[in-house]
Amino acid sequence: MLELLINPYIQTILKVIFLIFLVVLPSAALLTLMERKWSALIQDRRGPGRANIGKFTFLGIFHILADGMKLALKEDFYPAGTNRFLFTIAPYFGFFSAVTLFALLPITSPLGNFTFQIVDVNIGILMILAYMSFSIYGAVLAGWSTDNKYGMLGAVRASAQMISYEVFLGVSLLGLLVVYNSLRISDIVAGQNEYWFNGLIPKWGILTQPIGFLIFFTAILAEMKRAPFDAPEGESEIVAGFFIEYSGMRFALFFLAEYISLVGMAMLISTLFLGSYHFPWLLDAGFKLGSLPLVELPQWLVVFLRFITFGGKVLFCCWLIISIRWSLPRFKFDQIMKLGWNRLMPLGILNLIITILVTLLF
Amino acid sequence: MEASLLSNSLFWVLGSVAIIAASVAVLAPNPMYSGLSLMLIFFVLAAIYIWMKQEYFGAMQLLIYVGAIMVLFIFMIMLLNTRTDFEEINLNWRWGTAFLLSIGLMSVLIPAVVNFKGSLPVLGNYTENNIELIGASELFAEALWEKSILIVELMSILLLVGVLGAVVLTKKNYTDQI
Repeated sequence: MLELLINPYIQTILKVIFLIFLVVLPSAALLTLMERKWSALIQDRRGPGRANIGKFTFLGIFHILADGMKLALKEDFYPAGTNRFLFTIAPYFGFFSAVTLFALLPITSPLGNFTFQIVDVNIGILMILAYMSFSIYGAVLAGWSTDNKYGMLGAVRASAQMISYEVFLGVSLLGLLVVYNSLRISDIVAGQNEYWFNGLIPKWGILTQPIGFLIFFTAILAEMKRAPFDAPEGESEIVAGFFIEYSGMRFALFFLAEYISLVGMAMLISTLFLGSYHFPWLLDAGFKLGSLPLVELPQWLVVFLRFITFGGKVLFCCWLIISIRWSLPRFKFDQIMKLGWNRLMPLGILNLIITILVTLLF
Repeated sequence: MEASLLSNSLFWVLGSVAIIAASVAVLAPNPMYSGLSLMLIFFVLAAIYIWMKQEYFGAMQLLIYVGAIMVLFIFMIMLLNTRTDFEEINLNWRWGTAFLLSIGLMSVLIPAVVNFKGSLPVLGNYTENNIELIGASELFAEALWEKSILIVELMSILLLVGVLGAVVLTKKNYTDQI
């Protein structure tokens, strides 16, 4: 039995199951409720909280169950004129690209030989960008196959916006690659636990690449089609955009994929720019601030503290993205394109040039 | 042993998917299906590259062909009216050209498959051992930016000229109309 667990293939399969069923799906399901709760907080409301089992409401957590049941019980409906095959497969593209992201990101530091990361490939960041580009197909095929003018407009907007912002996403990461000198995720993570000024200030991505972080964050918001970049699904102009004709479980797939990719992107931002699972001054052996003596900690405690740190960072990023959605009005589509090509692109290239000059000179 | 068996059968699965997708791409009546199966071919090719431990090329295949070029193809197909726009095009004269081209390609490919005798020695630095030791992207960068830097720069100038040309062509019509 124990021999079976040491087998790397079995380990990988176990990691995938653990990650999907205990991290990804529960956090995405909880976020659907958290978004409504946080938006209520911003708008000075109380938010959903009536769904109950007997007397217990548990802050409205049963709304997740109620919503799921409602969607599952709806009629499986194809509107007239749809291309059935494409209509059926379209939601899975977004789902695929949202879930594959988790295979490449570590959730805490390795415990002995066991890594808390499914694969650590030599070209980690390129792989992440490659998988992210799949979500375009979901939006485009969904909008085209419904044979609806609003859907089509949403698909055209989505594809133009996402192709453009993928470019800025790549450009903003170039500076980061120069600083940490690797494409491998574990190298970037390890590089963020080094310190300036004799162990005082950690070399987190947000401190080494502040401009890169701003561009990356903006591009991530646009990639996820979240407000203020939600022109592809702007409800006051084109009703719901590319998924206008979807209902029931197929709509639920879109909905769930959106929240899974929200968790994934929050993990990506934390991994690349907020120091990943590293807590400041928490080294592998224990706490060490500057030239003060080392406070030793056992390895399992360090790993556990890092897991908590990572979870906190991811939660903070989710909160930030959601509160941005509920605070800012939507951009017009031409403003989105202008912001991208006229502001972010030159800024990103300037950032890269400055980064290269600084790395070469110091 | 188990691993090699698994990966060999993986190759056959990927290869047959690629062949089926290629036939669909040629034969499908709906251009959208052709575009999507072309995307599937690129995806499977990327998987085969990764199976061959050439992760870098696999990722590039996904990023450039699947993520960018095929999206533009599908974008174009989406903007055409597939029910009417394709009936008017007369494809008859293209059959001959396509036939000649495929015979030319086959005359290169078939001898290569027939004469294939096991694995060939790898020339240069890009060996499996070096990929494990140094890393695929590092080796590729070394080859690209140290040995063939002049060609890379010339290519980038060529691309820049292409971009400027496209801008000039679109801008000319635009000002005439105004």
